[in-house]
Amino acid sequence: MAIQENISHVNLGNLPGDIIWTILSFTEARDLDNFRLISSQWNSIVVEYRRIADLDPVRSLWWTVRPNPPYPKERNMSRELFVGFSEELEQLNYETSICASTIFRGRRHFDHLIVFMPEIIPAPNTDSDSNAIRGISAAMEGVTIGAIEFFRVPCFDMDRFNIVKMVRAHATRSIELSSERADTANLCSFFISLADSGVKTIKLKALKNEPFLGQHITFWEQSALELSRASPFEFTTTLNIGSIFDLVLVKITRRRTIIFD
Amino acid sequence: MVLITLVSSDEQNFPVERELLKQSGTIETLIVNMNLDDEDTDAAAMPIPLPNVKGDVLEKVIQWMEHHKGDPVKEGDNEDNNAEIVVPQWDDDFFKPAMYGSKHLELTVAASYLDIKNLLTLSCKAISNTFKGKTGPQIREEWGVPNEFTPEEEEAIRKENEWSE
Repeated sequence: MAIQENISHVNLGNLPGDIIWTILSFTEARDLDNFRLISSQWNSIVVEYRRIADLDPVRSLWWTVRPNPPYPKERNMSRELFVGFSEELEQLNYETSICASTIFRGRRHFDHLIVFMPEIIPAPNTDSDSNAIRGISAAMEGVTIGAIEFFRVPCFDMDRFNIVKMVRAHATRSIELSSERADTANLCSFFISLADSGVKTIKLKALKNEPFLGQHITFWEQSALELSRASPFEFTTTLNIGSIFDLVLVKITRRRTIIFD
Repeated sequence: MVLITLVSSDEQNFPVERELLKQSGTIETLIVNMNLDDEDTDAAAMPIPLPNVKGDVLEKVIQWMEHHKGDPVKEGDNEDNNAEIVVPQWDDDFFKPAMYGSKHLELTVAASYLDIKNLLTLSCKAISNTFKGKTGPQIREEWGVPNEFTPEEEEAIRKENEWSE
């Protein structure tokens, strides 16, 4: 009798786990999450299936910008030629549309993006590298990114402009800047723009005992005070000393005042 | 032609050609254990009970096995090429009338219980084909699955999904 009852009450939601598992084996990884809401049985099996099949989503992404020779020619061409996706030493170039469809595979969020510009280009005061930021941002259109590390990305006017646009486009809450190629003029407006865009943390990273974006820690401490006075945000700095890198952590909080609210 | 009788959970008898039953790992094991292949054994006098399969479902299983008589029997759990499996037209037509209902699911469960790998594979593939481009609630609605989640649980899963996608 019990068997009869079990048979007659079979529905998609309470299928045996091994059958659900078989059905999952026919589906694409990106669709798996849809099936969690079929039933609690499906929910637990999908979670387990993801774990066993090592299908946990990529949450961190390295994007290495390494212009191919002849550098000036490519730099002046489309931004799409300028960006690349890199795993370790392997360098692959994609058009941005291909990046979006094949690399991101429909993912809408990454915890952490590292934009890495490994080449030291001996052309100070040039903002041409910022094409890469625009390209990456375009390739990741519609993707939210919790934190972006701009590792060795120059920080001149146009770079800053593109960084602000990028964090705004991707609802980024934390950024890290580390480059010896930077202009500290108009930093106030840059930091306030970042704060306005929803950034809560700015990390300034430098090799041990080296200046942060070309400036000593005292400059940043003083700037934080000035920024706090001149904006509806409270900027606080903390210096973290590491064995290889030092870090200035700039925390941003919106101050609730009658004037600014 | 040797016939072996299968008995469904609702006690219907189905005399089936011995050769067809090689597609079912479960029945094949029972046949061996019951010595039904021995010349001295009167197979017709020894029906095989299948308490987990109802008569109407067993009838469909037999119909499917008859069509696939002589097909190579899949062995093991190799899922390497699952993405490339296509449900043949005959099977698609066979599944279609019962799709989105308990009958197709009972057929799938029976294929699993009877260890008919090809039927299980195609049946599961046919189910997964109905999921394409649909959300969990849409699949629930189409398949008549009652919603077990509270709005809070559903929202929590959605949030987790957004995070992971």
